[in-house]
Amino acid sequence: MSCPNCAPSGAPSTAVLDETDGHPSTIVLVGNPNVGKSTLFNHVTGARQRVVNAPGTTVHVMSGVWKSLKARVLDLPGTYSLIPTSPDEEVVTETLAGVPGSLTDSNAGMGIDLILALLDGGSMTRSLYLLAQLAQTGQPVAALVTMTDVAEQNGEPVDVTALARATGIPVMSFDPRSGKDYGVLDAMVASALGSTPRIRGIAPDPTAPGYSARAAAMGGRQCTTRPDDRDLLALDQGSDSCQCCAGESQPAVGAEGAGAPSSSAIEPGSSEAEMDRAMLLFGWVDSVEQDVRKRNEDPARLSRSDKIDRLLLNPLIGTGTFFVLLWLLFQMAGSWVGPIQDWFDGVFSSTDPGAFSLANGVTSLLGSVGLGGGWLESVLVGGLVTGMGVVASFFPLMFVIYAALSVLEDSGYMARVAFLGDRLMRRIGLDGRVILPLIIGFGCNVPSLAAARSLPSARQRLVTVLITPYTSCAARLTIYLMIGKIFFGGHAGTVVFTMYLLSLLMIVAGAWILKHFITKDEQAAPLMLVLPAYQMPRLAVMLRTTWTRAWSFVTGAGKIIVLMTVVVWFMAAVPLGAGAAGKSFADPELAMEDSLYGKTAMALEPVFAPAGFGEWHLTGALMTGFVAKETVVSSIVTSYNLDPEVDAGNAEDNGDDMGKLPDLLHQSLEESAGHGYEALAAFAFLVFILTYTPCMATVAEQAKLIGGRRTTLAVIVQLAAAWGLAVAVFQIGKLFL
Amino acid sequence: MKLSECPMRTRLRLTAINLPSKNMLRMQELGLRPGSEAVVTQHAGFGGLVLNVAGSRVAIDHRSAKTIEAEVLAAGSSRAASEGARA
Repeated sequence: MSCPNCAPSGAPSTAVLDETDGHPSTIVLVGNPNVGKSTLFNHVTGARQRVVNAPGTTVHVMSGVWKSLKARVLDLPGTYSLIPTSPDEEVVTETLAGVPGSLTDSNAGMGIDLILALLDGGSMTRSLYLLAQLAQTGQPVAALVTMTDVAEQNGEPVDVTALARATGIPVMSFDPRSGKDYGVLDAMVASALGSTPRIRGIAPDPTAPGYSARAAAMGGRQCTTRPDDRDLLALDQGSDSCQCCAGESQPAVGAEGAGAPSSSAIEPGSSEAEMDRAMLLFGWVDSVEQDVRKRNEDPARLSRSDKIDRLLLNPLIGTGTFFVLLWLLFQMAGSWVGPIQDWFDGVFSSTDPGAFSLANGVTSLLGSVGLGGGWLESVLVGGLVTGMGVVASFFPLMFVIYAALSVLEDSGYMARVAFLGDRLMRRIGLDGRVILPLIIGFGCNVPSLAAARSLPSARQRLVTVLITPYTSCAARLTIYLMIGKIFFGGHAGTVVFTMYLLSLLMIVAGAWILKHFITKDEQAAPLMLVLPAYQMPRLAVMLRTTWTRAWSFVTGAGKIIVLMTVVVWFMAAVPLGAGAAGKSFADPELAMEDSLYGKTAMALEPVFAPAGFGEWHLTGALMTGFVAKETVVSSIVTSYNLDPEVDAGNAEDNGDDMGKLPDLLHQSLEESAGHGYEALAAFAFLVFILTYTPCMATVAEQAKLIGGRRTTLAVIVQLAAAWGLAVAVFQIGKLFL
Repeated sequence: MKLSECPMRTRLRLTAINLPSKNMLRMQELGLRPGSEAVVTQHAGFGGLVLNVAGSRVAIDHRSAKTIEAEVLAAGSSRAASEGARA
C-alpha cells in the first residue's frame, strides 16, 4: 500500500517540471555557513550557473541548473537562523517565503518545489534548529547530513536512518567534496520533488519567519490518504512512512501559530515572541537529537581543529601567522600580480607597433575600411579600448584577491582572524569581523567593500564602507613610488611607509569619529562566532567561485570605469581656448592644455594652490585619478605631451628611469609652491592622493551598499577632508622649512 | 563562576547568560542556553575563549565571557584536569 501522492523512488527523471505551471522545478539549498552548499551547488550545476543579486539588495545568490534533473537550483547564503540579523540572512528568509519580486515568487511561476537542507553533522543541534524553522515555513524539505567525518572524529556520529524516521523526510549522509554518491543524491532529490515531503512534528506557522502560505496550503491539500491508512503505512514501512503527510502524522509543535507566544500580551514578531518560539523549537530539537546523535563520552577531548587552534589562536604564534599571511597578500596584490596586470592591459590597449592588442586591431580594421586616423578611431582606441584595458588590468588583481579570500574562507581561517582581532577593533567601535574586509582594501578597495557585505551589524557595515577608502590600495602605491623617487630620492621607501602609516591612522581616526555617531552602542555587542572545522579548500570550487566574483566586478564596476574613461577622452578631445585655434575635435595634434580637460584642470588650480600643488598637470591627474588611480601616473606623463616610450623612460612601469619627467615635475611644483617647497607640495599631493576618493569603481560599490545619497555625502566629506589635510600638511610644513 | 574563569577541557553546565535580550536569541540559536553542557577548549589570545557546545566550536569575546555563568560538572580527564588547573 502506498500514498498516491508520494512518487516511487528510483532513477531520476531527466526533466523535472512543476506539474502545475510547466516551469522547471526550483530547489533551494539552505544550511549553516561552511556546510558544503557551494561545493554541492558547483558539482550539480557544472558551468550552468550565474551569480544574481537578490532583488532589491546587494546580496549575491548563486543560481544554476541542476544538470541531471533540469531543475533550477538556488544556493542561498549560509545562515544559522531564519530570524535574520544580516542582509544575507534576510534574503534567505524572504526567498523561502517567496515574497513578491523575490527569486522564488510563486506568482511569477518560480515558487519553491523543494528545500534541500544541508545539516552539519558536527553541529547537529544548530542544524536541527534550522531544520525546525524550515518546517514552519510550510515548504517541502529533504535533508543531507554533511561533515559526518567531523562528527565521527568528535565521537558523536549521526544516525541518519533514525533522523529520517524522526523527521519523516528523506535524509541521506552526504559528502559534497567527494565525487561519490551524486547519482544517489539525484535519485533522492527527484523522488522528493515528486513526494514533496513535510517535516513531521512541526506544523507550518503563519507567524514564523520564511512562512509561505502557498506552500503550506499545498502541503495541507495534497495529502488525501486517510489518517487510519497513514498509521498502517507507518507500521508497515517503518521509516519509509508516507512523506507527503509527515507534518500531520503526530502532534505538532507550532500548529496554528502555536509557535507564537502563548501569552497574548506578547506581540508577534517581538524578540520575546521569537524567544518563545525558539524554546518550542529547541524542545523538538532535543527530542530528535536524543534519537539521532550519540553523545560524546569525553567532550573534553580535543579535535584536530582544536589542536590547530592552540597555535593559531595563541596571542604570539597566531598574530605572527596572521602577519605573515598579510604580507603574502600584499606581495600578491602589490608585486606579483603586476606583470600579469600589465599583460592584460597590453592585450587591450597597447598601441606599440606590431603589438598584438585590441587597440591595434581596431586601428587596423578602421584603416582597412578608410575610417582610420579620425575621431572614431580616437574614441574607440583612446576611450573605449583604453577603459577596457584598465578593467582588464584590474581583473587579475581581483581574481587573486578573491582567490586568497576564498582560500581563507573555505579553510576556516577567516573566522579565527576575526576572533583574534576582535578586542583591538572594539576600541574603535567595530568588531573582529571587520578586520579582513579592511585588510583586503590594501590590495583593492572594491573587493574589500564586497567582503563587507556579509557583516551582520548594519551600523558596522556602514562604518566599514565609509572608512574603506582610506585603506591605501595597490594602485596608489605606484603614485607614492613615482613621486617618492622624484622628490625624495633615497628616502622614497620612508615616504611610502609614511603613507601606509597615515592610511592606518585615517582608518582608526575615521572609525573612532564615526563611533560617536553611528557605532556608539556596538562596543558592548557580544561577538559569538562559530569556528568551522579546518578544511582543505577545494581547488575546483575555489576557482569557480573566484571566477564568478571577479567576473561580477567586470560586469558591474567595470562598466563605470569604461564609461568614465570615455568621458575623460571626450574632455581631452574637445579643443578649448586660444591655443586650440584651428584644431578640430579629437585632433591628434591637440595639446592637453588646449583641451576641455586641460582647461578644467587649470580651473582647479586655485582650489589646490593652498596645498602647494595648484598646477594643472597634477590637478588633471587628480581628475582622472577619481576614475581610477591606475591612470594618475599615465595622466601626468601624457599631460606633458611626453612620448611615454621616448621621453618618460619607464615611469609608467614603476621603473627608476623616468626620462624628462622629474625635471618637468620639479618645474611645475616650483611654480605652484615656490622655490624650496617642491618636495613639501609633492608630499601634500600624496596625502591628497591617499585620502580622496579612491576610484569610480569604489564609489559604485559604495552606492550599491549604502545608497546613492549617503555615498554622495561620503564623497563630498572625503574630498573636503582630503583637501583640508593636504592644505594643513603644506601650510604647517612651510612653517618648519 | 564566570565562563572566563572556567578551566579548560572540563565539562561545564551553563547556568546563566546575562546579555541584552536583543543578543540572547542568537546566542541561544548558536547553542548557548542555560542548562546546556559545554567545554572550554581554548583560552585564546586577547581574552576570548572557544567553547565546545554540542560538538560546535563557538568563539566568545572577552567581555561576553564575563557575562556567562557556568558550573563545573566533572573533569574531562586527568590530563585535562591538570591542564585546566594550569590555565
